[in-house]
Amino acid sequence: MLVPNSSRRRIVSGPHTRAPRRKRKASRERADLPAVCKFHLTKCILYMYTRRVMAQSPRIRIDPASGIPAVRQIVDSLRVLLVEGQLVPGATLPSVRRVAVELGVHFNTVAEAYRQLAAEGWLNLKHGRGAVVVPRVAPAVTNGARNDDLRNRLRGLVAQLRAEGISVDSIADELRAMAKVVKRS
Amino acid sequence: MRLVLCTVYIFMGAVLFALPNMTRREILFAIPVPPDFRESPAGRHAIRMFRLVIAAVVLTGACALLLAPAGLANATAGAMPIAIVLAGVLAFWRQNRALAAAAQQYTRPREAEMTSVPERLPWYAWLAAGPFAILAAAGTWLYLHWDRIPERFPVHFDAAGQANRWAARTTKGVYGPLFFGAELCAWFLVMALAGWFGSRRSRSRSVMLGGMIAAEYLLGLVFALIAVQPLLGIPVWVIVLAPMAILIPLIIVLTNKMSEPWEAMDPTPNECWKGDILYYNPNDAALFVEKRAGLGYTLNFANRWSWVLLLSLALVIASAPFVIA
Repeated sequence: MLVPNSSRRRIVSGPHTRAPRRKRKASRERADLPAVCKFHLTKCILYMYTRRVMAQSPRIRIDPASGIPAVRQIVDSLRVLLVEGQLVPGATLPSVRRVAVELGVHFNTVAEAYRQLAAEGWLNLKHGRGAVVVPRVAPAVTNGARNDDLRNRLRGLVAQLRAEGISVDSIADELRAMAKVVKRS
Repeated sequence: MRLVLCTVYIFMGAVLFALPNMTRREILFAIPVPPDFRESPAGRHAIRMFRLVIAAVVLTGACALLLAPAGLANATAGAMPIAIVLAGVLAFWRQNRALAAAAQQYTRPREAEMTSVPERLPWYAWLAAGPFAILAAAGTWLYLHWDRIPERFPVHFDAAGQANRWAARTTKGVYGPLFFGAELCAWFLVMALAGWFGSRRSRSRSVMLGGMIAAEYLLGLVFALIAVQPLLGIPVWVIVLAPMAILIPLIIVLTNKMSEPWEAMDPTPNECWKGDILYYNPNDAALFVEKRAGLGYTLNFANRWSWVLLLSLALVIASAPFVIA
């Protein structure tokens, strides 16, 4: 669900990390270019800049063809951003209307997703102030119950992925990679 | 005058002729098709048949208008645009039905930025004030030269270019076209802003805003020319052909911009397109979505604000007899 922001930043951060001397040389070269090339170059730079600015803001993604209800996809995507700290306490989420227009869903779908996250303790919904991310303390769960729940959920997910035709090796690789990330965090 | 009208009607026909090229490659006659479908025998045949009908009707009409006796010239001039539009609609509908079997459902994931930074209009949105300035300048010019305006001046002409309706030098008679032009420009501005804030972020949205502002300029210019015509004696053919000077480059630029493969098509569900022309999707919060027939955006008729916009247009048009003498 989550767009890999880090990879996009890597792609667009190239020109910004160049040495100043190289920059000067590049601008000299640009001055020799014909007008049409300069125009396209400016367009390219503007496009890269826009991509960089856009890449900095966290994004959610839904796939209408996935068969998973849109509410669940929005809740899951937002939860990933919240857990990974891309949305920090105090951040205000965009309006229900804006998100609904962008995702092509009904206003109520987004409002319901915000309500579910508010019920989980991630958001504070105040009329007129929008949805604000609040600090959340994870509920205390006994280790045994937690492990059972985790195992059941992972089994369900793996079964679903296998049913969709994804190879066992790919799933195992992804789980191993994720385990490393989780351990690091 | 017949030659001028012929030019305008041939231009209308040319726009219809180019209609298949005015949509994305994935859309042909309002049907979502594979991108390379246009080059297939079925795609080429559909485009050829559509263009054949348009060319036949336009050429027949042009010949009829040029050769018609004086008594029938007005009737022919009035019937020709109706015939062209009717032929265009029927030919389009026929090819739409013929290609319905090749329809595909495009889907792709949608993304939303989770930032509360308010959306900003592009810098060129300020240019939308220009047409109002043009109309105001024309009004000022008329006010300063009020005494030079004839007591009675022509406002309507027949196919031979002879005046057949006149207006008097009154506030309504002189400033009426300016007021009506300002009403239309204001409506276009509201549509442009509603389109910007009520549609998904994309490059096409910026192009649409620019197109709406250009259309606003066209209206402002035409109504300003109409208003100052009694004072400056501008030939009718100039007023008739002036819009084309803006329309032709506008259509070319918009077509080029919209067909650039910068981003994928907005994957609206096929079943929400009524007759493949009207979009009605209660589960989509967008007020405007990309059109499937022609250039630009269309309203989502499931959104109640679309009806408010249409009602406001009806009110603007209904106000014409009260505003213009």
